Amino acid sequence: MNDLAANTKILIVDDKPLNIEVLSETIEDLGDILFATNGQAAIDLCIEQQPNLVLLDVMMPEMDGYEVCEKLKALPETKEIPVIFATALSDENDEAKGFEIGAIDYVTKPISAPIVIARVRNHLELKRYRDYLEQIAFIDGLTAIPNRRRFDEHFQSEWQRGVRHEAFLAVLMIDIDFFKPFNDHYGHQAGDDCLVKVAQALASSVHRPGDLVARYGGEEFVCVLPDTDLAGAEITANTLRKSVNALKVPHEFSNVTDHVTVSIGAAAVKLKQSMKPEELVKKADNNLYEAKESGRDRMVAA
Amino acid sequence: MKELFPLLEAGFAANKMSTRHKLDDLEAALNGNASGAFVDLRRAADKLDFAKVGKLLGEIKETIKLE
Repeated sequence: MNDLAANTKILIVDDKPLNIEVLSETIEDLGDILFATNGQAAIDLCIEQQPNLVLLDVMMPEMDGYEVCEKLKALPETKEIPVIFATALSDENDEAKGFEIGAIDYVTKPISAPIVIARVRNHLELKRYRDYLEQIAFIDGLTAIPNRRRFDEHFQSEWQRGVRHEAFLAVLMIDIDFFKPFNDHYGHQAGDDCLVKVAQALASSVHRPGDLVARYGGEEFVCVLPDTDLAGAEITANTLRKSVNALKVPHEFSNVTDHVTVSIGAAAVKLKQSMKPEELVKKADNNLYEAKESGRDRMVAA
Repeated sequence: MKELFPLLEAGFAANKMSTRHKLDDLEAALNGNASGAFVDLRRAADKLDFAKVGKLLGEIKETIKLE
């Protein structure tokens, strides 16, 4: 098994162990093979193990393959996992039904080893390309931290989750102080290096799974903090500010100190259905403006 | 042996087929101990009954008093 295959997980779902053995032997060189003998176990394994591909039998007792596929496509954490039906059903209506509910391909039993290998290999490759494209679509090219698009998506999803649980949500708007004079005097290459250092310092200062630091645009960054009230947001904002200060990137043209600093506007709300997401971002942005107006290198929370 | 058990337990819990290849290592490490349970374990693994395999692994661990 090559390196690519060693990092690939393929889940075979079939109620008959013999079928699992046959399929497993056929495709074992393409990845690490997992199996499930019923629908619920398959769904649990998909959530837990995040396989790169599922080979799913249609006819199974209790929950059939169509129902399993529908459930996988309805769950946010499993909807992107490609599903290939492997079944003895060969009627074209059965095939059409499989595609309709989200399968990407169909192989009929008894299986033909070369066909199954070729199809599984092709779909694994397509999945790798899709994952790669998705990854680069959400990462800022310069700083290698999440970009504005990723922020928009994450913020919306945390907002909706927070509304459901009436949880707190905090946003920090962060801006590098006197970045224009920095760029003008040290040049754009140094400006880019500064952005990369600040971005990395900010991103490595938040650690909880839902926390996200993204580049908002230019020299502006944004931080989403789920389940965080204003007091918590202030603590994180100060941690972020200190992390940038600690870089000690020289800045002779700053009016506040001799190195690069940031100003931060923090805002937090306990979420309710009637609130609008853009209002929280606007509040954080207003507080950032306050922080800038009142001297920079500081945090304002309200 | 201490390193082998967590690997086997995690592999069988995740229904990973390749974990079965490590049973030869376990057999060698057991060196004839818990042989009855190991035969049952091998049989369960061959039938893809990994839930039973996990239970038997626990029994073997208990038998050989692995800390």
